[in-house]
Amino acid sequence: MLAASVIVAVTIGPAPIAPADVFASIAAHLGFGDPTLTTIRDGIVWELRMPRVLTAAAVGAGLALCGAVMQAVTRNSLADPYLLGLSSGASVGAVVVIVLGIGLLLPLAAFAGALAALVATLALAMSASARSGRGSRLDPTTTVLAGVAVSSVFGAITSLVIFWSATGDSYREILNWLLGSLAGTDWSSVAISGVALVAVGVPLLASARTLDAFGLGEAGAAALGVHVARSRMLLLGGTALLTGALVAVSGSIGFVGLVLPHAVRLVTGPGHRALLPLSALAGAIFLVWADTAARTLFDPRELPVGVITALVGGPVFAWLLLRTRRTA
Amino acid sequence: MSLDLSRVRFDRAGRTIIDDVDATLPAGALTALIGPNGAGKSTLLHLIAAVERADAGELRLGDRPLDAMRRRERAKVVALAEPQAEVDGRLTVEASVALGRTPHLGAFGVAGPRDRAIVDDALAAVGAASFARRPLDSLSGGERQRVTLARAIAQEPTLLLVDEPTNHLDLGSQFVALDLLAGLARDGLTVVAALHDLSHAAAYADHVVVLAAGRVVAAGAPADVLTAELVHEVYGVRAEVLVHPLTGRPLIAVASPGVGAAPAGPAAPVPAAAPAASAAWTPAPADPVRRG
Repeated sequence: MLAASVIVAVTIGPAPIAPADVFASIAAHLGFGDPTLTTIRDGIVWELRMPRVLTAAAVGAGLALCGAVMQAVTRNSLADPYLLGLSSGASVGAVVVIVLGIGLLLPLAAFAGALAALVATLALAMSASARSGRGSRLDPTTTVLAGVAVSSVFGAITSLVIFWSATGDSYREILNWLLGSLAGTDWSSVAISGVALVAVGVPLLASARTLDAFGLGEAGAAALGVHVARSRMLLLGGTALLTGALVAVSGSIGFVGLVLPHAVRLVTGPGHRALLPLSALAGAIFLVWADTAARTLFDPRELPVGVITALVGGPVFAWLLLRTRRTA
Repeated sequence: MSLDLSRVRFDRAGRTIIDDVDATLPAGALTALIGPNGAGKSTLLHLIAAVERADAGELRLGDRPLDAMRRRERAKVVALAEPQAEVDGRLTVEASVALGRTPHLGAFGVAGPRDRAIVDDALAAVGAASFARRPLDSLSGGERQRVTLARAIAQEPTLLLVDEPTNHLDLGSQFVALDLLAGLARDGLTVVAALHDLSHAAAYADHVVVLAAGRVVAAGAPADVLTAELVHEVYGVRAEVLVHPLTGRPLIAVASPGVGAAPAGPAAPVPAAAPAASAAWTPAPADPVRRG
């Protein structure tokens, strides 16, 4: 279904391309058969649409995976890289190195930003929870509020940095970072997001059993032989690394990490051995289609894809908030 | 295997929670850990289960020092059942109990037929097989308690730690839970249960360890340890130790110092009635009455 989505999404756009053309282009570039398409049509498939759709798939998969892992580790059904500020932190890191012209450090800087934001959010949430006398247990809504505070500050820094440095249309670029956009992605975006997805995603998938044990609480997980403090640090560090790499190519696309794991959980139940891979798959398909909508709905103008994901994610977030409030 | 604690100490935030505890908990027996709130019962269970690390002292299971074992190895021999553990209510009973296999499977292991058989046995042992496929949030408190215990049993430990197994249970369910623990101990498992009800400890435990302010104040057979003096010293209530008319075990009758017409001061201990005195209405003095 993901493969079909990728192929079909590539055919959609201002220039009509048939699925057969997509196959022909792919085959030609992989060294099978001769190029049958005109250079322009082949360029549209291979240089414009293909990397964009593949980046969408990798980013969607990664964000959904990060969301599922964060929800389990923080035991907070509202956790998501965007809501807890990781995405805006990563944006700051990415924008700073782009402005300074040291593009090689892009994923690293985005990771540092994501990590800084995560630490800031958790520290803020912890001291807020401690003040309200709830002890060390993090209250889900307090954590999200802390994420909002951290996001706002990091978002503002991103905007300032772009505004200072940019000469031309800085508003568009600011919007693309804050709302997320896959416009202008090329094969290097595919490489960054793809490598990060595989390098971090595979160890995360292998942690399914640990994540299941986290469901029993700290004491419960420890009694099952889980090294709670170390696992939590590694898993959250992994999500920060992956989020950083994804945000570096796409900006902060919101709600993918929140919505998809919850949707998949309705079908598979809470066991992570099924939840993690299926969330990643669903996230990939979802973002491929959300981005296809973003670039075609108001053709020739393009919507930041984050507008679409927020349109879907906002109501789901509201529903989750109501449910969390009821059970808290 | 017996559990030996020697000079175990645990400090938290400048306060000593567990203060040089020495104790031997016999193998294949049910040991009741009793003491007032804040005495350190749950903390001591956490130290044994590696939820927390002791600051000093040694914990040995048989001849193996527990703190020298890797976490996963330790979780294969020590299981902790905590009733207050929160779990995702959408999990099925079966899936929740299967979590007990975690230390045996590791990160990449796949649950095989043997693991499934162990989970089924654990479900059967606690009488939860009939609702194995239901989600946890559809269960009553007593049913949830049984699931928690089944998860610990599925861990196949040699030492089973249970924190307040009768908490939030109705009268009948309390005895079902205690019978189950006593049965596991008879089958050779070393069971340690933190209990609040002294008469439960007296009726079911083979061994009693009394904790107060992080120290062991008494340990031994229930009939030797559970005296009126001890109950007054540890809990500050007036007590009288009777003989249970149905089981012949000690029965601790208590009242707060202000309740009832105390003939002498609150500490007036009345010696335990001799079993002979109540033999007339004690049908089976040797064995606790088993339910169901």
